[in-house]
Amino acid sequence: MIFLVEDDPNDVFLMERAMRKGNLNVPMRHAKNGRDAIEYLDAAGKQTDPAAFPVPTVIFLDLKLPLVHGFDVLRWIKQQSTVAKVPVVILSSSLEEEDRKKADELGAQKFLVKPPTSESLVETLRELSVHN
Amino acid sequence: MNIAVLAVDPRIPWMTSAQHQIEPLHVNGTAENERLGRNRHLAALVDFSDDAIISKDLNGMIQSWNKGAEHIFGYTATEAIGQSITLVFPKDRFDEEPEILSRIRQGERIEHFETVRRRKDGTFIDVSLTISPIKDDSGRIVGASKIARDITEQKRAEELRRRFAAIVESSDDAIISKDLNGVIQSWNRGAEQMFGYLASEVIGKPVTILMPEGRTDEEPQILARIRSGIKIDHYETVRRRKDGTLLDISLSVSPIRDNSGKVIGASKIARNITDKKKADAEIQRAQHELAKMNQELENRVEARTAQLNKAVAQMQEFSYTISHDLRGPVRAMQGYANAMLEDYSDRLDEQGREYLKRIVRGSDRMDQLIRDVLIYSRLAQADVKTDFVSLDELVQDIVDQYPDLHAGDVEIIIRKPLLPVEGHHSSMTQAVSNLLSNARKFVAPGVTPRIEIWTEKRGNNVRLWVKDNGIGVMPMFQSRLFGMFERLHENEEYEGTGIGLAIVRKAVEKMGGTTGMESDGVNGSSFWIELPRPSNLHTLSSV
Repeated sequence: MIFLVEDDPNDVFLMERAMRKGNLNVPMRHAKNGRDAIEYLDAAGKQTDPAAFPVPTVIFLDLKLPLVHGFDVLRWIKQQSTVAKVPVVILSSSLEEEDRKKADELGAQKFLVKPPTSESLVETLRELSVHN
Repeated sequence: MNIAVLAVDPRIPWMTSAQHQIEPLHVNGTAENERLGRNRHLAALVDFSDDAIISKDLNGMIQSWNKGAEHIFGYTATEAIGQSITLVFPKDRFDEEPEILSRIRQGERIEHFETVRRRKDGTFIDVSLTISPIKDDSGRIVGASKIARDITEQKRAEELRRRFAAIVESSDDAIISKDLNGVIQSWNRGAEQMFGYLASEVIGKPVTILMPEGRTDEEPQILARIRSGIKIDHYETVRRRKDGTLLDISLSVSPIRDNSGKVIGASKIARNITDKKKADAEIQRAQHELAKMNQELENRVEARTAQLNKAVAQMQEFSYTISHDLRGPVRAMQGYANAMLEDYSDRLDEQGREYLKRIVRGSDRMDQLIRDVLIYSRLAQADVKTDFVSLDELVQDIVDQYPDLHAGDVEIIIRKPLLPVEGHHSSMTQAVSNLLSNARKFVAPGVTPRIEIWTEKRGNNVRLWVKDNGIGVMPMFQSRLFGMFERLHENEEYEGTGIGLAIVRKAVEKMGGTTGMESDGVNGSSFWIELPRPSNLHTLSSV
């Protein structure tokens, strides 16, 4: 399951479309701000109801999020016991070196520039399954 | 026998007949003896007098010549007796003698006649003469006696006194003298003008009449110091004029001493400093005003600068935020338009597809513009710290990594080694990338871009050149080239945002360098970036 944390509905639509175009028929869950993301991942981490709150296989995380910033979500994720193991792919409109460096420092697996093409999504998922 | 003691005073008339006759006063004993005794006494008095006592006959021949005459005129009695009296006359005074003799013959006395005589050594002396007829027993005038007093010193002293008095009188400063009781003794014209009192109104009065209330105790203090012989210099105080007005003065007071050196009074010189004090006060006030105004101005400038800085910061934040926030919608536009082109192109006619393509192009362009504005405003806000930058590495990295530079045939020649600079790595990367991108872009259709890159030393700086074989820039357009949103060509010819070179200039400015270009408008362009050589701190560790 792909967990997408993204506030812009257009980006969500285009992401889903890209997945379809790449024939990636993976279920996707979506949180539209940092707080909701943490809430879900917290529940999933506790594994009290894995059917309702499955732990994702990969997290696509936007940086500019309302309520809690993407980097803070990332930091939180990496402090958790179960969810920390889930690879995180940063999606950003930012081209800034500093953001890339910080994502790296905080433990993100990959950094993609929005909107991701279906090719780059396919390649990313392939890379991450190899690691998994 | 009693001898009348006579005062040897040439001013007493009967003394002139001393050599011949004397009226006996109180005589006891033989008249003859007494007469001889008296004569001897008188002769001694005459002989040893300080004054010159001379007698001559009616032809002016010298008959007697006392010690005083020897001393005053320098001739001994032997040398003088028998000579004409004109022996001691200066040449221009010879005609005084006939005049004197004629008056003597008439029995006249000449008293205190001031004239000039000549000494044996040729020097001239001022003398005061008293000349009286000498009578024989029968009362007939037979000669003249002259008493001459050397008044040279006296005259000199008088001359000095006169000169001094003239100086005092003509001075504009008030010059006043007083005795040790503070009573005014002298008062010059300057004092009359300064204080408004005539000399006659103040001489004999205490000097305290000039002092306003509260200042009268200055007098005992001044007198105390004067008595001890201490001068007072430039003592600033206040005095009162006759009409009651006050004036600021500067006083100098000196002790006056008599011949024995004893302090007998004081001389005061007073200078009116009212105007000066007024001027000084004015100056001080003006300076104070100026300082105040300066401070006000500085405060205002500070406030304005703070305001300005705040406004600039707000603008930069605004342009950054808005550019950032615009990217979302632009991305959506691009995304949906592309999606439509991909998914619905078969259901669209040529026109419909064309519209969509234009939407895509438009939003691409918008995105590019926004990204350039973002880059620019990030650069403008950044705190750039410079460091050692190897241009060899930097340029090679750009050439290797930037996709633009590989699209199609591009010939890039780097004349290594490129000199290192003191700069900022990412800013320099941005600037050089933009220059290279331009160099590749602005070529005539069908021409393969050829870019040459090299560095040269310029004093303490290094200049990086990027030369292309492109379309060049006409000299008349060169000045605006680095401006914001400046474009010299239509989008159809060469795409661009018009921010590329503004970014180059901003980046280079922030690193403390300069940038420019050369072109004849036809044969390509050469752009340059000049930065300082790496500072010594780095070069040591760079190897």
